[in-house]
Amino acid sequence: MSRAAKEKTKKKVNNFIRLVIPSELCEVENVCRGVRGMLTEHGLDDNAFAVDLLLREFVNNAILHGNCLDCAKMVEVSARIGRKWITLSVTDEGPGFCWRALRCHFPKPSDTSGRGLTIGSLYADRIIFNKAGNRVMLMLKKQGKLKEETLYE
Amino acid sequence: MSEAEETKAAEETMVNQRVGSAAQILHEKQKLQVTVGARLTAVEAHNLQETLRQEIADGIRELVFDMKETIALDSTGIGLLVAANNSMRNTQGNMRLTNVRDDIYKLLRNMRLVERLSASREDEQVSHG
Repeated sequence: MSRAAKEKTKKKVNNFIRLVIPSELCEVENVCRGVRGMLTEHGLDDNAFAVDLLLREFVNNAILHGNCLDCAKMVEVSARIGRKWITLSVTDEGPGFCWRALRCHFPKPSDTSGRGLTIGSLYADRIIFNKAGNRVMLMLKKQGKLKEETLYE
Repeated sequence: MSEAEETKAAEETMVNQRVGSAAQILHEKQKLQVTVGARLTAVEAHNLQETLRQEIADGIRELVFDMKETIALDSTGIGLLVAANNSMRNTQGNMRLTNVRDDIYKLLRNMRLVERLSASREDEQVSHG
């Protein structure tokens, strides 16, 4: 095998990224940039908008509501590209919340907040919280289309 | 030019200001045009919020968000747009979003906000009654 061929086989495209950030909103962009880079390496630019949006929503929630903007508390974010799924995970150091009691209601047009989970339900194929509610896993089909775009017509 | 005329000319002059990397604001008489940056998310929305609040309180009648550069919008950014819209409605003013990119437009559509925010895509115009 030639040297060039050997070098080529050595290069692996990462399919997993893990980042641990302090609870500062300015860190969200770093997370999105890192994951976006991995998606591009895998030719998954069609998923980029949805992944970006989901990360922003759930990392924001972890920082604001989970860790209450306490910079001493960290948020762990990971992204994995599997054969069929892109799996995102966001964990904060807060006590969690009662996600079972939360019903995904559609916000009124005049509501200025409360859209995060609705966005999650539209852009992720699966959302799985741990028991405490301080860790969430989001799964998206690779290069899949937004589900139920006409649901709310 | 008299002092009064100079004062009037100064007041009518377009005022152009930047709000960090969040937006560029152009104020002309009672119209405010906000050219939003690449992102309107939690950080940018926070920076823009107070400026917009002050401008609306000062009595603008028309508020336009030019979204041609915006590729990222989250629920906090949407909240800012909705809050601005609510305020303009309360003062019988108008607000619209122009040059909205495809992904952002689909997001607004799925959140049932296209009509509410008078959002138009890059290649269309919304007629205003």
